[in-house]
Amino acid sequence: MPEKAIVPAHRRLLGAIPAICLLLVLLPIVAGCSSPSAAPAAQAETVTAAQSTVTVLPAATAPAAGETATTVTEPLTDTATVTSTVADETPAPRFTPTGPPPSDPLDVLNIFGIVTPGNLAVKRDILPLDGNNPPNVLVTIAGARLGVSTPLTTENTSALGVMTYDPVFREWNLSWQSDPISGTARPLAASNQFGGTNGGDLLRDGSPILELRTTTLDGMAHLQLLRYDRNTHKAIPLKMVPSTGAPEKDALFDGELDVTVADLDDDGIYEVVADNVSGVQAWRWDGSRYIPRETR
Amino acid sequence: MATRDKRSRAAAVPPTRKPTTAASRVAPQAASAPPRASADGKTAGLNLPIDSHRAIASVALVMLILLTLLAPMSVATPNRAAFLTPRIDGSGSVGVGFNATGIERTVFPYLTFIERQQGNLSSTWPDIYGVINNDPSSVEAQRAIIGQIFGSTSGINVRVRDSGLESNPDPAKLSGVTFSYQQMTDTDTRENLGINGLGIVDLIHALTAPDRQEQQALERDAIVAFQTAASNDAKTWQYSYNWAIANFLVGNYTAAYEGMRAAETNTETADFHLIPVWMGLAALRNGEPDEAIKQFNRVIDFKLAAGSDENVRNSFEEARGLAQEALGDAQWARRDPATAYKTYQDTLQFGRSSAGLYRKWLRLGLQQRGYEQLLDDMNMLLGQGLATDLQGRIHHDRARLLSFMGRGDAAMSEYKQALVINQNDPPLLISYGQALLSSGDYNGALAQAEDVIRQLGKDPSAGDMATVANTVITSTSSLGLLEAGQELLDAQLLRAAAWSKQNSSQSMAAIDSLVSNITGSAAGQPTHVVGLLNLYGGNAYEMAATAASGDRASDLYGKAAEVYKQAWAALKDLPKGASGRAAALSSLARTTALTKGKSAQDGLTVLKDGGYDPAAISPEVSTDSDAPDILYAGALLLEQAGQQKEAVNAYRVSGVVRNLRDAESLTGVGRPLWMGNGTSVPAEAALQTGDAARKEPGVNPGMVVMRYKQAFALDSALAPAWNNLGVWYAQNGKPDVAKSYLSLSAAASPNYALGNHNLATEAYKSGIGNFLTAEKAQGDAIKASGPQDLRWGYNLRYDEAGPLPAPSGPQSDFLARLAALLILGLLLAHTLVGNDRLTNRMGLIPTRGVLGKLAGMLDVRVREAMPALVTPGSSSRSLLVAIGVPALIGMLGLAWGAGHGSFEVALLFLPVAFIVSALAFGANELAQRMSARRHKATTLHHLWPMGVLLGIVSIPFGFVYGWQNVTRLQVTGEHAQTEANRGGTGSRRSRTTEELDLEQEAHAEAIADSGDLVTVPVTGSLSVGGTGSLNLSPSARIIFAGMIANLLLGAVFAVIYWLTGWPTMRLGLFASMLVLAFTSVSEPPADGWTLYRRNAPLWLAVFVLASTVATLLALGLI
Repeated sequence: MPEKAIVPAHRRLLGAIPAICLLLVLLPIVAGCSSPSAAPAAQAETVTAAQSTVTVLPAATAPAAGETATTVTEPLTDTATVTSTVADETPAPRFTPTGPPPSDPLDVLNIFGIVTPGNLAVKRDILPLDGNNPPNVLVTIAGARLGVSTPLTTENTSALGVMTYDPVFREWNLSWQSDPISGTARPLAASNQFGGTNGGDLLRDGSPILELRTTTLDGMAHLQLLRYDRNTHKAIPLKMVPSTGAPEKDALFDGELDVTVADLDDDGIYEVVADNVSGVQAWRWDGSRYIPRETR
Repeated sequence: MATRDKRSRAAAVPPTRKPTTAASRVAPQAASAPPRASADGKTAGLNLPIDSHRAIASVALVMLILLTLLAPMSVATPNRAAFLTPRIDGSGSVGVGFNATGIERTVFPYLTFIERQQGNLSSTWPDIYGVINNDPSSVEAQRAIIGQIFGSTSGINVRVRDSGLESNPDPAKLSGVTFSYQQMTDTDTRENLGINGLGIVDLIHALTAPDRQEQQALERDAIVAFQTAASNDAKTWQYSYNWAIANFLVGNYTAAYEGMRAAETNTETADFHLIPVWMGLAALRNGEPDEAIKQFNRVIDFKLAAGSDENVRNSFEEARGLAQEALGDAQWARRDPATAYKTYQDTLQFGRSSAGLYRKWLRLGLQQRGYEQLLDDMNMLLGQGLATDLQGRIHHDRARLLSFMGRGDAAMSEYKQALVINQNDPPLLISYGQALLSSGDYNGALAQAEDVIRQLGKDPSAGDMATVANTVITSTSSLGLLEAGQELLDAQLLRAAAWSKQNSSQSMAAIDSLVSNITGSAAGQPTHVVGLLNLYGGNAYEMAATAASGDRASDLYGKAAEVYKQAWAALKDLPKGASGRAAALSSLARTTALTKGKSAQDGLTVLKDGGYDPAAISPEVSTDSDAPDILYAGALLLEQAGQQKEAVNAYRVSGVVRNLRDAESLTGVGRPLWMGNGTSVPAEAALQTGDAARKEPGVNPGMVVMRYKQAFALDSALAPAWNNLGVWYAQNGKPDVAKSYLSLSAAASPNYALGNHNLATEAYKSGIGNFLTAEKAQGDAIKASGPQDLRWGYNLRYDEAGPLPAPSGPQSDFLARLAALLILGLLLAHTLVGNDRLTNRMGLIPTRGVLGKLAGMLDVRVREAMPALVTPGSSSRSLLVAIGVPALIGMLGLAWGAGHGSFEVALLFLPVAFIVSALAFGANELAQRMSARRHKATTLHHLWPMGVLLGIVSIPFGFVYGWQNVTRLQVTGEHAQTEANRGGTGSRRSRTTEELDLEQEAHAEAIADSGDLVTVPVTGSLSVGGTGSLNLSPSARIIFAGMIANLLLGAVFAVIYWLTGWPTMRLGLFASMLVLAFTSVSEPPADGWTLYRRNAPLWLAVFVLASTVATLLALGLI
């Protein structure tokens, strides 16, 4: 007979979760990395970019030795957060890696550096948002709801992040992050895939348009569209008119079933199409904002 | 094109022919007459009004006429109802399949014995191929994934599947294992192994979780456990690996990919090649097929060191095998399904042949709609030495596919071959019984059904299905049990249909008894089981109704509705998504609408009362797993009720929600919404949404385009989505875009006949610049399913055949047979000719047939009116006229025929038709001219008015009458004399006996040609006597050279046509055969008349061959 009462493993683990959470919070500090995941098993080993081209490094966004860094945590909701690590405004002098740089900077990419505990990388796309080489990495993040404090019935939030390679320190940094919106993010195909649109020139004006598509617990679909500015390296929401006569607002489209982009007119400029139960609602780009359009 | 070789032909009457006139018996015998023939006919056996060779030819022509009238030129769509049965969990009762797997399971519903055993939860874990051969949310796939996790109570280097732990272990055993892991967590050295093990236990519990929320919680806890172990012990790569696999399991594919990247950095994984395969799979599931292909190729291209350990080698072989098969998945997702098809097939042929891969290959073939090719390829696989079990399945599957395509006889042959391998296999017996039912053998079907029931250990006189229903609602039921349940239900439904077909009071009572037995076993059962049993009872009545007609069918539908009502009453309060719930309401609505005195509106009322009004859809459907099926059923009823607009909306909502529910079927992130990812996704539903949208009056074209794009984005192999979008663009004034999409349709499915045909149509209509594109596309269509595709004509067509296999090509009508009938009629008129006569005074007097007599009258008038037209000449101009005029007439007839009713395409074909027509006529003339020169002779040419007239008449029928000119021969240097003699006034010169015979022959031919007495003087330069294996005289060889030229030309066209399927090559073959057939008729003065008298068997062979080929071409059978 077992000496201890047998409880279902998951319930037993639930009891251990606060400790695990604490461990996870401390882990980045201990390991010199902000990654939350098991994947970073190898991350505990200190490896410099010059020494190896391993795909996951301990501190793609972590402070280098002797550097003071601030971990900025922007709450997505009460239950999920997106954390980014950015350097202080007056950083201490940093150690510059020596030796040959990695042949492919993507080899040293570690998205766990920006996906903090409690969050989940939904999608990671390599896109030349800045038009530079190496390209940027567009990361779609959602709350993972891994902790007991995040019941499955609680609404989630999601956000986008853009990572940029720093050739001096040979690391990938979170250069921009969107404000979170409600819902769990759905993976969207990037514009460099067949049929993909995310990060593409959807308005035919040369600017990448970033998409964040989420689904809320009520089944509603949401789509945020943002224009990425290559000069400022930031994205700002596009504008929309939700319905005829309504005031203009940031482009966050809702659909009862689905909301997506499609080039309905074959003119290279994408419309937004929302599938509702009673019909389809569409918006077209008028040069400065999305406005309702006829679908019939 | 009769030639005049000026030799005696008194002896050249066919050996079996007996002249019937006294004149012929007293005809002078030439010294050179072969002994085998006698002019008096004494060697002849029969005294017939026509020669026996002509009689044989006539019989052959009559048989060809009968073939033309009676031959099935197209296959009618068979009644497939007998083969379509709902699943025991209620799925498949609304539509035949909304994704590739659903369609495959509809067409090929049964698994082999070995496959059925693999799904046993309590047996061994599935191999790693289960990860990619099953739906990601299926228990089979989840078990295969969990089996790959590392961890056991003895250490971290053992995979779960090798650890001795079952996937559904005894609770006491699992408790013991859990306790062991818990104890480990309390020790410093084994803490992480314990945490890792508890994660494994959580995942095993999740396999049988009672609801989705519990499953999600268990999976989440497992991920946390692996994460904790990995964080605690960064050096043990298996923990990171396990974390990545657990994320893969729940659909967190980016996390899985990155986790595997992390594990790969550990040097200990250098020989563990499954990691890049997992990375590829994660990328593929996340909609990144390029990355997936890159990762798979890393493994496929890796060269393992020669001295590697056996363990390393085995591990590598496993990884490479998986990568090879997954490469096909990635190619399919990367919009290259044609390459994927080949990859699968090559793997089946030369690599690893498994039932799972075979099923996936079938799925792809079905989506591509290349049924003929699939049949051929299945046949090819049979010769590859596959496992006997799989061979039996292939025969079985071929039989079903043939049944769906309306080829009952071929199907029966396949069933018999399958039965040789698995004579007691219940699934096979069911299919065989369904085929018997479909062919009208109701008793045979009934016998098979009852045999199956006995094989399954059940009593045919009972109808107990309670075990089956309980199997459905038990989450741990093995695949074998579920399959046996399906076989039992199918056998019962087959019985119901057979009894209904028998239509006797006894058989109808048997149906009532069957339903009563099925529903009667519900007593004391849980509500869910009660509902399912009533669902099965309703299925039986509905199956019987489908097999009936008229009032009897209405009555049976009414009975079905009553039983379905009981099913819905039991199931409606169960959670949405419960087995049978959607089927009960949908079936109730459907059968209510078909009940006597009811209408579609009554069916809609049923749905509305059930909380699913398809005309006013609630937003709650977005999270309702039952909504897609019920709304689809509602859309069908709305269409029947004439509410087209509401129907279109219901189809759309059903399709969108189905995709949403599918994408969110896992507890994690899941796949991209509108993108293929190497799994079976509801692309067919998206296609139906597009098809419905385009039928809506006033719809925005862009919306239709979007739906079709969504369909092929989900499944690039879905050839009709590409095709229908192309046709839509064409009809909306964008021909260039249309051509692009039709080209993509052809690229996605090279053997998709309709897509290729539409591409050809669009390309032909785009002008001469696209002619080669059109030819290639039409050639591909012809190669895919035969030349009957040409009967589609050149109008663009949507693919509305639905997802199930159907007969290839369009239906045929009498008009399609008219050209062949006319050709055969003309040939017969030229063949029903009396025997020639031989006279003392005039030698051989040819006998004419009906057309010859008419020609005689016409020729005289034309000669009077337009003598230049019919004046023979040896000049190039004469030759040009003799070839050019028929070629021009042939051009019109052939081009019109090639246009298949499209004036636009016919115009495009004019140049080609002229070329092939000129080649066909010219080859004959030029070959004879060249052959004559070799014999120091030359040829004279003139038009044959009757032939020209028949040529003109043949134009509207799409062919060319092939005998429009006459060629005569003269010896070089005597042209002037010949010219002088052509009016019949030339002088005669005495020569040798042979020359005298030639003069007699010249007389005969002149009479045959003009009806006048004509002498054609010749020199003795032509050698006489038959030589060679064909025993042909030089003049006969000259004649035969023309025929050989047409034969060779036809052979060249035939070979190229066989290789390419190009319509122009077919047209060339047709022209060559028409010229050959008509010039080889045995009526004077055709070439065939001369050959017929020289070598009748040879003539018969040439004539029948040419006539047959021409007829088959005219019918579109070759």
